[in-house]
Amino acid sequence: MSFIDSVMAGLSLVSSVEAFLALFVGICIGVVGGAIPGLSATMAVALTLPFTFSMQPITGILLLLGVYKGGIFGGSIPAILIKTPGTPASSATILDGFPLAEKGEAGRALGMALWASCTADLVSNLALIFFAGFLASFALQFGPPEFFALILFSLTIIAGVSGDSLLRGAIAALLGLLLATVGLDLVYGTNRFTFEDPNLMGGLNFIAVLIGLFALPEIIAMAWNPVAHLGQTRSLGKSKVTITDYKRSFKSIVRGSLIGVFLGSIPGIGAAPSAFLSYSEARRKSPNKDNFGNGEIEGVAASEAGNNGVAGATLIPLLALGIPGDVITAIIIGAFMVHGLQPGPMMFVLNVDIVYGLFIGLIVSSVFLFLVGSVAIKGFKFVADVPKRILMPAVLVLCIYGVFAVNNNIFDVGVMFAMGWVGYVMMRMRVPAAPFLIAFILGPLLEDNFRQAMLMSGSDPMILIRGPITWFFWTLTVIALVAITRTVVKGTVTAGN
Amino acid sequence: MKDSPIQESKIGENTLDEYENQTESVSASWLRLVGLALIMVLTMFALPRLGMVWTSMIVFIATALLFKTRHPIVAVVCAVIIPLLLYAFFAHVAGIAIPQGNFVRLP
Repeated sequence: MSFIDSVMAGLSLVSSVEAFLALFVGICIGVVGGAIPGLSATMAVALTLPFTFSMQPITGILLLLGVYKGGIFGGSIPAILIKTPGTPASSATILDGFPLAEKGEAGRALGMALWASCTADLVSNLALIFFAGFLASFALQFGPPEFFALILFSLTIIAGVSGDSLLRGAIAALLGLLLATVGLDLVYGTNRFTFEDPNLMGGLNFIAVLIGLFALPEIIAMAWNPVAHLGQTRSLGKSKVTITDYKRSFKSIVRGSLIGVFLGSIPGIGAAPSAFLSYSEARRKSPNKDNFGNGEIEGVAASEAGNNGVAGATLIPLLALGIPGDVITAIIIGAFMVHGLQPGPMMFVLNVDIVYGLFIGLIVSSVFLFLVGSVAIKGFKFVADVPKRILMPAVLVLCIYGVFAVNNNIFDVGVMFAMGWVGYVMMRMRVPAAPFLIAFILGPLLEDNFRQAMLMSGSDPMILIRGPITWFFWTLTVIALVAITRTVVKGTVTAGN
Repeated sequence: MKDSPIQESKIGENTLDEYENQTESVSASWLRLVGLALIMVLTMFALPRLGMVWTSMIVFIATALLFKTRHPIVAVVCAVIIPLLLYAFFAHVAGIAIPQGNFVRLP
C-alpha cells in the first residue's frame, strides 16, 4: 500500500463525527483530570479506559489519546495557580509559573503554558508520524532474540531512571516482573503461583493491576490525611501572554520540544525528566538566566514544551515496537489489546488504516487542545472547587465498575483493592510505581521472546547475540547500566562528602 | 460550612510530617486506614449478594463519611446518582452484565 493509500484509508476511518467527538471529549476529560491535584493524567486515562470497551477501536484509542494530551497540559494549571502539580510532569512548571502567579501574572504564565504545550504537541506528533513508520519497517526484521534484547534494554532504562533511588526502581521493576509470572506458563501451561485458584490461571488482570496501582493509592492517602489537598488558588491577573513573549521564548520551546521528542522516544523516561532537562537547558542558554526561578516566562515555556513534547513521541516505541514509552502509553497498550490489536511492527502491515487514522487524529488534537485549554484556564476556579472528599469516593466507585467491566469478574475488583494497598505501601516507602507497571507489561513479552528464542536454537543461548541488531541492544544495555551505576556512585560519593 | 480560603491555605500547608507530630491525629489516620480496608473487604463480600449498584451507594457514603466530608448532603445525592448513571452506561450502553444481587433488581 502506498503512502497516499494509507493516508486515505486512515482518513476514511477517522472522518466520522464520533471519532472527533471522542478526541474532543477526551481532551476535555484530560484537562479537567490533569487540573485536579491528586487526580493525575495517568489516573484520568486509567479511569477512562473501561468506557472505551464498547467503542470502535479507533474511537476508543483517540478518546484515550485525547485524555493523555489534555492531562499533561491540564497539570500545569494547578502547578501555576496553587503550586501543586496536577500531574508529576508539571513539577518543573512550578519553578517559574508560581512566582509569576504571585506577581499577579498567572494569566500570562498559563497562556504561555498553553502556547508552548500546543507547539510542542505539534512537533511531537510530526516526529511520531515521520519516525514511527520508519522504525516499524526496521523492526519488521526483528525476531524473538532481537525483541528480547530490546525489552531487556527498556527494562534497564525504566528501572534506572524512574525515581530518585536506583535500588527502589530496580525493586519495583523486579516485583512487576515477579507478578507478571502469575498464571499459566506461556509455553508448557504449568501453573505458577496460582494456589489452585482458577481465577489466577489467566494471570492477574492488567487493568485491575494498573487501576489499583495508580488510582487507589490516592484514595487511601486521603484516608490517611483528608485535608492534605486544601490550598489557595491565585487569581489569573490582568496580564496576558503576547506574541513578543512567544517569539522571545520560541527557541526554548523548539529546544524543549526536541528534548521531549528525544527522551519520549526512549522507553521509560517520560515527561517529568524531559521537562526538567528542557528547563535547565533553557536557563543555561537564556540571556535572562538570572531571572529563572523568580518568574521568568521563558522558564514556563521551556518546561511545558519539554513535557508536552513527550506526548506524541512516547507513541513511537508503542506503535513501532509494541513497547510502552511511559506509564500512560502502557495503559493505552491495554486499550489496543482489549480491542484485539497488538501494537508493534506488524500493525503497520495489518492495521495500517488504524495507524494513519491515529496520526490524523493526533494532528487535530493539537488544535482541540488549544481550544479546550483556553477555556480551561478561565474555568479552573470551578474545577478547584470540586470537593475532593466527594470526588475520591466517586473515583472509588468508578474504579469498581470499570475493573469489573473488563472481564465481568468480581475477583478482578479484589485484585484491584489488593494492588491499591501495594501501591500505597510503595508510595509511602517512595518506591516508584512506574517501573513496576511497565515491568508487569513487559514481563510476559520478555519471557515469551526469550523462550521462543530458546526453542528456535534448541536452548543455545548464543542465539541471543546472533546478529548486529542484538549486538546493538546489548551494547546499549551495557552503556545504560554503566551510566546509571556511575550516576549512583557519584551521588553516593557526593553525599558522603 | 466552608472555611475561608486563608484558613484552607493554613491547613493545606500542613505537611505530612507536621501532621504526624500530632500523636492523636496519627492514631486517627491509622483508624481511617483500617476503616477503608474494612470497607474494601465488605465490598468484596457484598458485591455478589447486594449487587453492584447498592453496594456502590453504601461504599460511596461510607468513604465520604470516613473522609469527614464537609458536604454530607451532596455526598448522599452523588452516592445515589453516580452508581445509577454508571449502571445505566455499563449495563445498557456497553452491554455488561452488572451484578444485580439477590434483593432489588434494576431494569
